[in-house]
Amino acid sequence: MPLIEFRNISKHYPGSVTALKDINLNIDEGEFVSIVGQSGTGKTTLVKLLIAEEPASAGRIVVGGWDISRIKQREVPLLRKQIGVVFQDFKLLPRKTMGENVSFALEVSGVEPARIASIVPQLLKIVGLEAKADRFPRELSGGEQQRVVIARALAHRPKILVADEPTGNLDSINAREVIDLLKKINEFGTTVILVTHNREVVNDLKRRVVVLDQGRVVSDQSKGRYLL
Amino acid sequence: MLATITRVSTFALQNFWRNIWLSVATVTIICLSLFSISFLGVLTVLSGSALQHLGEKVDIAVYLKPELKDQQVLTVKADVEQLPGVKNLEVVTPTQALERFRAKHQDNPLIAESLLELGSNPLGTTFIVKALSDTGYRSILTALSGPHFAPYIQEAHFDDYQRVIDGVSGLTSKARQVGGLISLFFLAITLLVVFNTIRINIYTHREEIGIMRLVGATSWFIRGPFWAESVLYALLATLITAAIFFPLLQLAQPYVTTFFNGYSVDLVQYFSAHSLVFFGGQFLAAAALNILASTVAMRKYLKV
Repeated sequence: MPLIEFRNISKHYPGSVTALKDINLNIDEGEFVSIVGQSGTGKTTLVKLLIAEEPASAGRIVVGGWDISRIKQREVPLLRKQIGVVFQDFKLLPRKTMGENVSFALEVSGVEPARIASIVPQLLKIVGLEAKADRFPRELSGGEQQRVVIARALAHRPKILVADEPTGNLDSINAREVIDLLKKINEFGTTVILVTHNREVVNDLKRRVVVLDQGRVVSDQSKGRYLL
Repeated sequence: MLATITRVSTFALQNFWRNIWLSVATVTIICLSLFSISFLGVLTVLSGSALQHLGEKVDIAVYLKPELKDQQVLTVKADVEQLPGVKNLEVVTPTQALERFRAKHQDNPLIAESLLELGSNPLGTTFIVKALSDTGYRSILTALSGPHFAPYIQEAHFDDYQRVIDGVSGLTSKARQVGGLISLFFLAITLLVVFNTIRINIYTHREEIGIMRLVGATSWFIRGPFWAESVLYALLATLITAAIFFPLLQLAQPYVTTFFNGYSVDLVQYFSAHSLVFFGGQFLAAAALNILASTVAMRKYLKV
């Protein structure tokens, strides 16, 4: 059984705007899938539906056997703990240190202080920033900030990590570091969904590529390339 | 659980501190509301004391005919005590009545001279009758004017303080109405100010809220600090109001004592004895109101 199933998913917005049309997609556990396409093709909408930020207009989404199509508001936090999310704009709190930013994700979920104290250094070590735990975001490069965001996304040991344009604000060297980190996380068993329009990154990965165009899946290849 | 409560409280304190001037303004407005309510409380205590004081002055003086024998006086006394609505009856003997009369008119030489000329005590026994309620005096007086008592009673009347009581009641009622309107006005302002404060705090913390949602914080955890913050406003405002209220009462006490002409109305003692109920009630009411305002603000502006 796939870890994630999109079944006949469509998403319409007011004003007759259709973001997704009849999407059918299965993602297995442990996969590294790149979802690519030009701006406005529905990539981010697909992410929003997956993390229950927005409901689908039609179809079903099943995550780990759990149909989240009609998820209740009080169940959303449970889903979000199973899906780590990384965005292009980092979303770090500027007044908190890197360590505190990672701790924050655990604090707001009610994790005990002793457990936070043991988990946070481990997470920072995974992303190679254990020596910079006390630095503030403004003191680090974009790549380092994005790695902290990845550490934060892993705080609840999610089954799935969704990275929406994680290299969008980075130069090629930092982008490479972030992608390498995502590959490493994937090797540990976490399913990674990379949403991007960075052709070079996708082609170098040589993993499964799903291409979206005008809200439809136009290509799905196991070792694909960025075709459009 | 303890960790969650601690974090919610910490976030609430952060909210309070990061918009300190907004918080000060909010607490000040709540203080004004609580002051107006406290003023109403003082007014209620004062008017209650004034009415009680006046009520204690009301009695019926029943003057018996001087020629009645002691046995007849006792019979009439028993009959009067049996009348419905009578609370108690004090007997003033002719000698005591004369002494009181002399004492009352000691500055009037003409009356003293007249008494000397009379030679004997012209006054009979007097009953001082107290009724169970303010409204009972008229019915007692009507009964005393009946044929049963006519052979024994020379005169019966009571000092009509009712008009004064009605006047004080009316004045108090009007003052309460005005005070109530002022309180309502401030309470409405409080609702709006707390609503606006929470709205601004939601805006200020939009980044944190966004991340909280992203990493799986529950709706209760995200809303909790704003509720805790609104309760904190109520708590601070109540403490500040109480801290200013008691010194003001002490300042006002001498004027109250003078106004009541020595009658014991100790406001400080009264409100000290009832402070837990008085300010506890105000805190609970303010907290409930603030929670209502913050809930409305969160519903409108906090999408979780």
